[in-house]
Amino acid sequence: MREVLRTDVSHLRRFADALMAARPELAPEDVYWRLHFCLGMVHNNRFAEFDRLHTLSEGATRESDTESLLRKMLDFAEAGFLV
Amino acid sequence: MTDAANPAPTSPDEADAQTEAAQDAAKEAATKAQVLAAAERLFALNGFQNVSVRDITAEAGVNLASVNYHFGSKDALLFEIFRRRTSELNRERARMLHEAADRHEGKPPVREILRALFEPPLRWSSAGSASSSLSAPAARAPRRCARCCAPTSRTCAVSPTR
Repeated sequence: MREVLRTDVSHLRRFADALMAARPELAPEDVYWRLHFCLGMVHNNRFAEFDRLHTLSEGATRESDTESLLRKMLDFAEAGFLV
Repeated sequence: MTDAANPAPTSPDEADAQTEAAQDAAKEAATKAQVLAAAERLFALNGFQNVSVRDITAEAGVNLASVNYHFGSKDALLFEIFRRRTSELNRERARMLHEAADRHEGKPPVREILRALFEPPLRWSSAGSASSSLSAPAARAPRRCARCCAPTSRTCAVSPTR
């Protein structure tokens, strides 16, 4: 299973290609790195991590739903693809 | 059998045998589906390590040997669940990316590309909870890890460092 996780990238290929087309002024290497960081954002969304964030923010991050979480993630990630 | 390549059965015996074979195949497929559904449910609730093959077959209401017969092992069953889930997830991502491309003459903006990447796993992990709110611990149904189907509060069975 780990082998599949490591080598099966076909589903990410189309995202990398689309991002490179949208940001031709970025070096492909940079696009790959930034996509990699975006995948980290997807995985850092477990309850244990939300709870830790709520503790850190002393409750300031409590009010959130899927829709606003998605918006926050997109705001951050989109800015990450600025040249 | 509706397969045009197969000529119609010539004797009643042959027809019976074919019907029986078709029924067996349908029954096996149903058993396999029951095992998959039961295993996914139990792994999500209790974590992969805490669920035995016996738990799965009891939950599915099938023969104890069914897991090994259809999947080979508990590990292989987990892999099959993972494979099915990720392909479902990535089909959805591909569909959204495709639609974004259609809306923008084949060249979607960065935000639309990222939305296609982020939204399916986000929706998927919050589906099934009592509300879409991330702020009400009491109302939480166990969310599943997109990799191993374990509750997201637990360590991922597939990738423990995640």
